[in-house]
Amino acid sequence: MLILTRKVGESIVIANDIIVKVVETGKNSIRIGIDAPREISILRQEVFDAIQKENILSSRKTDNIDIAKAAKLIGNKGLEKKDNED
Amino acid sequence: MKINTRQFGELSIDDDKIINMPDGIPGFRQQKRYVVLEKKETSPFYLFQCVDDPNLAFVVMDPLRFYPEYTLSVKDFDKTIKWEFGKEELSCFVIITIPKGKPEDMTANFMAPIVINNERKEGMQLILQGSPYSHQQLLLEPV
Repeated sequence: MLILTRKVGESIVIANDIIVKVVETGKNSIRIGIDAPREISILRQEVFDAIQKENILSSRKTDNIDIAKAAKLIGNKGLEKKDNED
Repeated sequence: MKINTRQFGELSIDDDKIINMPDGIPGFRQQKRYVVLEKKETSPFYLFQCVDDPNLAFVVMDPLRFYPEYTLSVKDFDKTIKWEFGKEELSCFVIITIPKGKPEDMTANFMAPIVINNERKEGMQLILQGSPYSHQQLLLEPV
């Protein structure tokens, strides 16, 4: 991993058009600003990791029996809830 | 075309039912063609089946069933998405995780719904940043 030292207000440029700027530093955190083209997706890594992990988990060859059981358990659950609110 | 599925065996599907996911989904970037399958015995769930991999399928559900107020905003979408919001019909599904042998512990990922543009036959997994919803929302009350 490339490690650089930057002062508050200083930036780095990635691939000509992504600019990452150190905006503020605190005790245990820093605030960064990012200027990037619209098509670049920017996510907090823990969010992306959580979604990816969940996708992999949910794709794990779920048993037909488990799906049928889960479907039965759900039954009219959501719909009941809606009726009760009326 | 004929496709193979682990859950439902060999199936014949109309080509125009195939949904293109240009970016795949996180964890499965290379798999880009899916189809939504429906079976009576697994209702209200659908199977979001990868056309090119019989072993890759997700159990999905309409989020409105649990959260009638669940809505997506145009702001949730990347600005490069060229869909004509408001004009084109969208479908939305949340992925269900069913732990092996413990269907009662199933959770739904309301934070990252799969959104499908029915006119363009194109879809994506949207990650709702700053969403109040969990990616592991329990669907049943713990006993």
